[in-house]
Amino acid sequence: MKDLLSLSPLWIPALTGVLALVLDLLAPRRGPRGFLGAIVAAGLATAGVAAALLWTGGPSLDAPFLRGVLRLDAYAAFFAVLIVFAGAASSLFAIHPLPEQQAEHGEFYVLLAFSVAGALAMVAATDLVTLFLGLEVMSLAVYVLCASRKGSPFATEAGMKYFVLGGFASAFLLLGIAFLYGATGSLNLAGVADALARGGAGGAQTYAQVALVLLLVAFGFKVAAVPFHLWTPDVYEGAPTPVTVFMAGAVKAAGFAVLGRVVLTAFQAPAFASLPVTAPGAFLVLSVVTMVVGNVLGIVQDNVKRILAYSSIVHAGYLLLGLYAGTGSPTALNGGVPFYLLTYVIATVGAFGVLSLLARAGVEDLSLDRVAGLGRRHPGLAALLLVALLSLAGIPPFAGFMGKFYLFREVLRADPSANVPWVVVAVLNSLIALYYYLRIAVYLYFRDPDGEPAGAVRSAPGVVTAGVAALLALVVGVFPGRFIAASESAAARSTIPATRVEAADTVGRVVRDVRPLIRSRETLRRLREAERRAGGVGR
Amino acid sequence: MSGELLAFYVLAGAAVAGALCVVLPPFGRNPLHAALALLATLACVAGVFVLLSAHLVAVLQVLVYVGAVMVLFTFVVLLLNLRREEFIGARVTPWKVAAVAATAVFAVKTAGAVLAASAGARAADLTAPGLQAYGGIRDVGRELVTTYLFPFELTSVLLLVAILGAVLIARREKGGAA
Repeated sequence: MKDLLSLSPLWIPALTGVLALVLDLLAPRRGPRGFLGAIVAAGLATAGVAAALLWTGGPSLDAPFLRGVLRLDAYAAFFAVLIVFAGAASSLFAIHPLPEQQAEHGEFYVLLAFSVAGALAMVAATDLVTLFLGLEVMSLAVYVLCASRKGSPFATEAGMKYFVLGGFASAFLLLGIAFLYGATGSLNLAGVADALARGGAGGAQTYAQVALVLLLVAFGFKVAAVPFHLWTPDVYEGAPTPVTVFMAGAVKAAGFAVLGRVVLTAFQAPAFASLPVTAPGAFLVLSVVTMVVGNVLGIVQDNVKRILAYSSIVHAGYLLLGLYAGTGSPTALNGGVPFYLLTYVIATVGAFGVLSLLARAGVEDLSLDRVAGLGRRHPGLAALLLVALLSLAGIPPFAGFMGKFYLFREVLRADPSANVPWVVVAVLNSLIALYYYLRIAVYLYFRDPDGEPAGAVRSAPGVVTAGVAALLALVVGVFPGRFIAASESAAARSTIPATRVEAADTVGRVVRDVRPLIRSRETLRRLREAERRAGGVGR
Repeated sequence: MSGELLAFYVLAGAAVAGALCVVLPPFGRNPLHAALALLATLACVAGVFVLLSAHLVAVLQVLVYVGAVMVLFTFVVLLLNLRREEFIGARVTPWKVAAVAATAVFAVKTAGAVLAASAGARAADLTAPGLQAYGGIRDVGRELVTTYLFPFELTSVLLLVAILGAVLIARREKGGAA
């Protein structure tokens, strides 16, 4: 019972999905489905509250089969709240005020809820099998969501592209897990860490390096780091914008949570430092390439959705820099990373959220020329978009500024001399990024639309959600103390202490569990025989 | 070289060759041929499972993949009736060259790591008493409902999502026509 309560952030979203599915079937066939969005959002919000309340205490699972695969601590809770926030926002943005357009959208909300459930399982997983399954539940639902817009070739292309490339990335992940298992004989992160720290048998670390590369490819794809980013602009642009909210917010947060936990737990044994491929080295290279390439490509775009897609790539670059520089010891996650993700998720949900309110007003095309002049036509929405953009750009007093400031400060603190050039690169990149964020702002307020202007949908849940995101961006930016403290305590629990995990050691378990079983059967047979000989009742 | 090792090399080699045939010409140009090459790969992998004394997984591999999934693949290929020329654009592009080069580098590096790691490794004796029975239905079943109960339950959510997704996408096309 206590376990059930502790697990509530995991099963509430799944149950919400089932509930929405049943209600979808019971409701009139052609009737509106918007209420499902409200139900899913409410369910996810409940899960978020449960996560915040329950998971601050640290791991508290009783059942041994749960203790081996899940770890419900501040780290998981922090990212769970981010994921649930993005999921609920996405669900609310998807509520369409026109009933005839949402008749077929019942499954949309159901899949969204299941996707959140998968993401949460992935974030809480300490076992590579659970992690993989959580990732697949999340991704499979998102592939379908991308292609869910009726009769839109762009959405179909986005879904197909994401599905094929995502399947490819999953194959990399599986191969990486297989190599890790081959190197350590364990599927449990704590067991892997232990085996690798002890040196393992027969060059386990060399073996594990292959696994590291494969895992980096897989997670690099999920968080859209260059050079695994090629899908990002097309998919973000083609997918229905509420789904883009979810991808840019929840999927990225989940990807970074898992990347941090897996790599920092498994690959930080001192013996790794001397090998050719080290985790920090790989993070640094990926980070610099991601920032520079993402920015250069972002400058030349003229579609708002694409610009924001490249901006999400660039943000992945800053976060990778945070992963590169652990605070204190190399195994500790930099305290700025969770906080930066928090500010990024709030701002990106706000930005794509406002776009989702524009995108569905008949005009699919969100090029700069179409959104131009929005400030005069819809001053409220334009203001919300502006707040989100300024936060993404890192302008005070919004959250993005505190996120960047704190992350870069923590990176510097990790190694005050060696990290200076990388922080300079990151700051220069933030300045370059300023160009395309402000370019959108200039179009919003100072240009006239070319062609049919983008209209806006009067969707109360959507506007309120965008407003909440903007408000959060302001609150986190002005009063960051509590959020930074939460981020620090999450980061402090990023690694799982290396323990010898007997349960994951298959061969050991066979010898321990199966043999006594065989023996006891033998004993049982002998006992029965003795019983029969003694004249008792046989079978 | 023991018979077991020989069997492994034959099966593993055939599996890799089959996988290459799926994507490379001349087999890869015809969807049906590619499907058949995939069939060979899956069957060989089942053989490798047998060598690992994972008997249940081997049987499931044959039943599910070699049997059901491949039949489905073949049906889909036949129903779609893909023409050869629709299926490929076989031009050598810089991207493809880069991909092949990257794959080659990775393969060489991985092979090096595997060889280096296996030099000092001690092979597990899978014929040891107690291990002999392992990999059967009972042991795998026990694992599924004990250690891996949570992932097992998560799989049910995964399947539900897959079914829902298939319904959503299939119905979308009908709705689009209407």
